[in-house]
Amino acid sequence: MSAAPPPDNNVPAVQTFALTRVYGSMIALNALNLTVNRGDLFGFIGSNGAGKTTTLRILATFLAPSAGTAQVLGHDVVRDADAVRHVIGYMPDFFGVYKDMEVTEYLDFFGACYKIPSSQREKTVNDVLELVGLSEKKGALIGALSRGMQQRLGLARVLIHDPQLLLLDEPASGLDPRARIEMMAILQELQKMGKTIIISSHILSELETLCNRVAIIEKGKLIYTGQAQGVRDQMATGRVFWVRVIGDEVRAVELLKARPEINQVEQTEGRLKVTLNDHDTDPGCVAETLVHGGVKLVGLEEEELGLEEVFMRVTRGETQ
Amino acid sequence: MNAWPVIHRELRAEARHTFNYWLRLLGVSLLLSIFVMMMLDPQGSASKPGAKLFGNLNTALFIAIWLLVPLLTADCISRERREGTLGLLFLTPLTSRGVVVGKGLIHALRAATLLLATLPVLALPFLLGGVTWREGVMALLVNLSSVCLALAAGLIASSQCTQWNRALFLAEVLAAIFLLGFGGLFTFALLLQVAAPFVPGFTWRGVSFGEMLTGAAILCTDVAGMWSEAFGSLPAAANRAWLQTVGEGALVAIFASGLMVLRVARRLERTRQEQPPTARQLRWQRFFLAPLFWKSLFRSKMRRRLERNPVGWLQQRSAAARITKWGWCLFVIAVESSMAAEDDFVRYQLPLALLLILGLAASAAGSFSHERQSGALELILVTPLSVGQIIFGRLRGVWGQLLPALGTVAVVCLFVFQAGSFDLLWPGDDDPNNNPNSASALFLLSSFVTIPGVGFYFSLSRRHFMTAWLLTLAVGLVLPWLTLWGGRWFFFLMHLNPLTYRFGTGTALAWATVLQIVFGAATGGLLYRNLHCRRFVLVS
Repeated sequence: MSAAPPPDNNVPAVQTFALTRVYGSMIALNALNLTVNRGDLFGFIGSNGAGKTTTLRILATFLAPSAGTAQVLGHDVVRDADAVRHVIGYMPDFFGVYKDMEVTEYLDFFGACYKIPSSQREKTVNDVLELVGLSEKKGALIGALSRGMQQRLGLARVLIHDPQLLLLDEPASGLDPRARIEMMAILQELQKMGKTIIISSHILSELETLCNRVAIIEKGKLIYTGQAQGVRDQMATGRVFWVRVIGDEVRAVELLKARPEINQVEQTEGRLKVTLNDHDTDPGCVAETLVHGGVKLVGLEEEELGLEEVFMRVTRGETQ
Repeated sequence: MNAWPVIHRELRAEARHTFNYWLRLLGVSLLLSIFVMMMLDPQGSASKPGAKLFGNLNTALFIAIWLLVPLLTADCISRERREGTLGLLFLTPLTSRGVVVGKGLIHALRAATLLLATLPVLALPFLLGGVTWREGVMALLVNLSSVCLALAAGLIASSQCTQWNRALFLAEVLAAIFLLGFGGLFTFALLLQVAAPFVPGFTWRGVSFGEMLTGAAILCTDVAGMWSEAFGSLPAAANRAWLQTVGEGALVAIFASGLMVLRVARRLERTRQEQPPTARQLRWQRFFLAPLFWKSLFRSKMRRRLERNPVGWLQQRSAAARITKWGWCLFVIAVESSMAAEDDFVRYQLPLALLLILGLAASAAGSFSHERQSGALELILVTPLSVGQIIFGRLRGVWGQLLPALGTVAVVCLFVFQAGSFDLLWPGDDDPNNNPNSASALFLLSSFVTIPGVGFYFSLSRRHFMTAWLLTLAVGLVLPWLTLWGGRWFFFLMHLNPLTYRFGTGTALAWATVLQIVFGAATGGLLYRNLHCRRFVLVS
């Protein structure tokens, strides 16, 4: 279970510099600059075709970049591909299993591929099976496992050589809620063990609570990277308030629209949806305008933006 | 029965396959090369060149039909089953008969386009003269019968299997059985309706099994224009009877294949729902496929293989791999034993070795496709296994599969060589300084070494097994000979060295071996580069 030592312990887990990948005339990745620190549980968010899988495949040494460079724990993914393969565990968005193999046989095979000595392999296989909760399925044929179990087996395969960096492409897709929650718990456990994890997923609500840092990518370009909790503050184009008034709603709308700090006012289901120009605008201007205008204000609450809302706002859903 | 949606879908899918275009081009190129070779052969223009050319072209077409049509049809239903789309088809009002008939018709059309593409080349012998309308009709009827039966073989195999490699194998086995049955019945009918009443002195007792086989081959293929000679020597009534028998044979073949299509539809109806293996099947599998004796020895042997090279272990771990290995060996032993009593026993060694090399090419050309389909190849390629380990692991696995069978052929050849009758391998080459025996052994050895590498390259770079297999054979076996033949003619026509045109079989084999090694090394280099850059067609 020994991985090749990284050249410098202070270097980030992943660093890309103007990483570009072109397929024919299509630009899948457009000068992506990304940094993932050691120990991060990093969420990689984007629409289908945004370039997430391409990025992960380049980091896994499976694709060569068309331009730019990428480093994994200080190793260049093109020049030091062999060293990179020792320190990463890559789980693609498909299972990649031999359905006629037994669970232990499958892990034994990949253990041999990673050159784990046979004396250690049995213990390692047992450990990773226990970690992913598949101990009872040791002797089962892979073809007979459910989708969720095959997904767990994929995670066990990724862990077999104790990698420092895990690249997980949609690891929770197709799992039932219980299996998803269990999978996320395993990932948190792995983070506590000091592993760096990059996870791409569409289930943004889970990434929000799971990840400490996220990146949003669209059409191969990085839109945002930073703290998962700070994403709302940084990415929200303007805060949104829900206003409830008694009396003349039309006048209230006219008053609010006249203020330069307010970007948009909509009447929805007996409430007014007020969008401020930017994040720094003082929300007190809403109440002040209505009170001075003689409109009776009975409710004012700020809309809580989740990662999903932010994602929907900052991306246009454009794919390549 | 509504087959139209299936026909519509299959037509669209087939129209997008570039392979169909290349297949027609390959068919025409093959016939054209036979035509050019015969025209350039100084001994070939003696008498009735048109009839001989027509016979040889028709033979090539006949072999191509029996070889390719079952292979092209074999995965049409099994693929739907494997990808889970068969169940979706049956959720619609489509019936199993509609599905099978639709697929059968499209594959028949596919085979017909191959025949149509070769028609202009087949017309050339008519222009040269010596070919009558009778040969044309006979060829049409025999090829039509062949297409129907070969198609039925492919459909039956496809309905029985889920995995493509098993379907292809079963299709070829069934095609061989149908060919033997068709040839046997056809020959028997001809002997009964033509030879017995019209050939003076014909007796049933005088016909041996070997003569029956040779007769069937001639009657079905018109090799070297034998039909024309036979038509000339028989009375007009016998010719009419012959044509009538061929027509009846074609009707029987069409009727039989129709029945088989209906049987396939019935089987599909029965097996449309996925069924887990029954307890009895599992018991049989355990009894026949799991080791019973020396289990610990077996396990430690497999473990050693895994330690040595995991990719090699992957190729040899399954019961199917062991069945393939020992199945080939058993087949070779059966052929050798059945032919041992024949006078021209030695002549069968070269075709047998070539058959094994065809198997080796198929094994290599299909070796990565399973991993590519399941995505496991991607996972193997992100492990620290070196490219050399991946290639040599696979090489060991593929060689290991054919080694017992090839070893058996080699032992028989050595025995025959000891007995001093090995020169029968190349009859007619009487130049004592140009003995082709060692050169042919060298060529076979070089094929055994180089063809797997060529097969791996095409297995990674081509989406479909058939394309990969045909390209493997083209580059590994045909290209060295074509280059040699082209080179000889180039030197001859340029008057650079007229003697080079006259070198014998041994020298030709030696040069072909050298060229094969050169092409093998070039393809091996490309394979290494592609694996190193992780460059291959992702999903089949």
